[in-house]
Amino acid sequence: MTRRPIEELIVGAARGEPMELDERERLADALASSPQLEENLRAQRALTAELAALRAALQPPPPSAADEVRLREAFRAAALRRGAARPRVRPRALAASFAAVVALVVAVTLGRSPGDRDAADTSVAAPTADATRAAARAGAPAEPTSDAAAAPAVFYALPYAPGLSLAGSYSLVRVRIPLASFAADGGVVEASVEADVLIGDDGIPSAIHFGDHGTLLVSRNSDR
Amino acid sequence: MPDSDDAKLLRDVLAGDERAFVELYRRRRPDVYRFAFAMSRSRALAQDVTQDVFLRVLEDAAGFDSRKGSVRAWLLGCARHVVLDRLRAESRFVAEPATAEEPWAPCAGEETVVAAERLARLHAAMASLPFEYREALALCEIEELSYAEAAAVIGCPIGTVRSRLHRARALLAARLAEAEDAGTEPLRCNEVCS
Repeated sequence: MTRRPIEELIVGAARGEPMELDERERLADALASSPQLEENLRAQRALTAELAALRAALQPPPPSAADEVRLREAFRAAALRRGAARPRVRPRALAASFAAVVALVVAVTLGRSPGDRDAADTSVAAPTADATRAAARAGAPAEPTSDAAAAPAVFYALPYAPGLSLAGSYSLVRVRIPLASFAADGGVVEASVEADVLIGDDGIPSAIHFGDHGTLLVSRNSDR
Repeated sequence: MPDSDDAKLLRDVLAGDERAFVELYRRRRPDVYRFAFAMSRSRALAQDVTQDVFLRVLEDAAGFDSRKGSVRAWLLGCARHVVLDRLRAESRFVAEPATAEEPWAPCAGEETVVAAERLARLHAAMASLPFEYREALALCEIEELSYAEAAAVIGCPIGTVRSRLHRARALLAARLAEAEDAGTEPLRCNEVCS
């Protein structure tokens, strides 16, 4: 450990800092042998007192209500920015959207003939940009093309979603949804259905495609 | 005010609690303001810096690390950066003559005037020191941080803070003595009282 210079010990003593025993002894010896150091210590103690007075004098003005209002507004703006930057899937909105879409799909599909259902099943394919654009333009389900081999998947725009944008980019997420989530009549449905969901950059689901209409239909039929 | 309370408030701020943010502002505003005023000798700048520091809290609260020091020291570190930026922008490294916007205690009598004048001289002498000595004085003497805390704020070894403080006090004493020997003309009344 290095020995502190005597001048630093004087400042430490003037500030009331704790010292090691050997440092106290060195300082006492130095002060006893030099009136100049004794004078320095007195000056440093006076300076400490003046700095304490300055500390007490540097008080802020009373708080301004306007400043607090500005900070509160900044806080809310920052919270909004953070919320926008952090994609969040809202489970309730998602469930409500799914329920609405499933009700729509069930209603539409039950009204078709079995032949129609088979034809609809053949349209299941990977989603294409055309389908997405079509859904965005119509704000409604994109219809499959007549070419069965390149048939686009049917994506339904979700109610309450902000809508599809041609300029936006989306993530495709495959999910399995228990049909019990959609049983509005309180019935217990054991099956689940696989679906592909388009999720926008904001984290909000925008469109849905059901990959297994058959499961959905069988489950609904078996309940009846 | 225990620093653990400050840390909890800061955590609540991060969690989106507006009341915690206002509470932290009310508790620590005097510390930030005092540091900025000590460094700049301008009340207007000190008020601006105080606002800026708490705006930075909104953006950088996640950057606080309790292992590196207290919330108070962290806020003073933010204030140090803001003051430095402001002083650079305004080229106010050299102390300016006091103006009417920097009032001291009200004039109640001759003794008060003399005491206020001495404080004004002390503050002026402090503001005339180079930045590194001024901040050592402001952190260790005005804000009463320990050497370790001041070292964390400045980002230098503890020994450096200790030696800078020693040097700053020596310079300050010398400048005050020079001013007295030179018989500097008394400060105007609006420099020492409102």
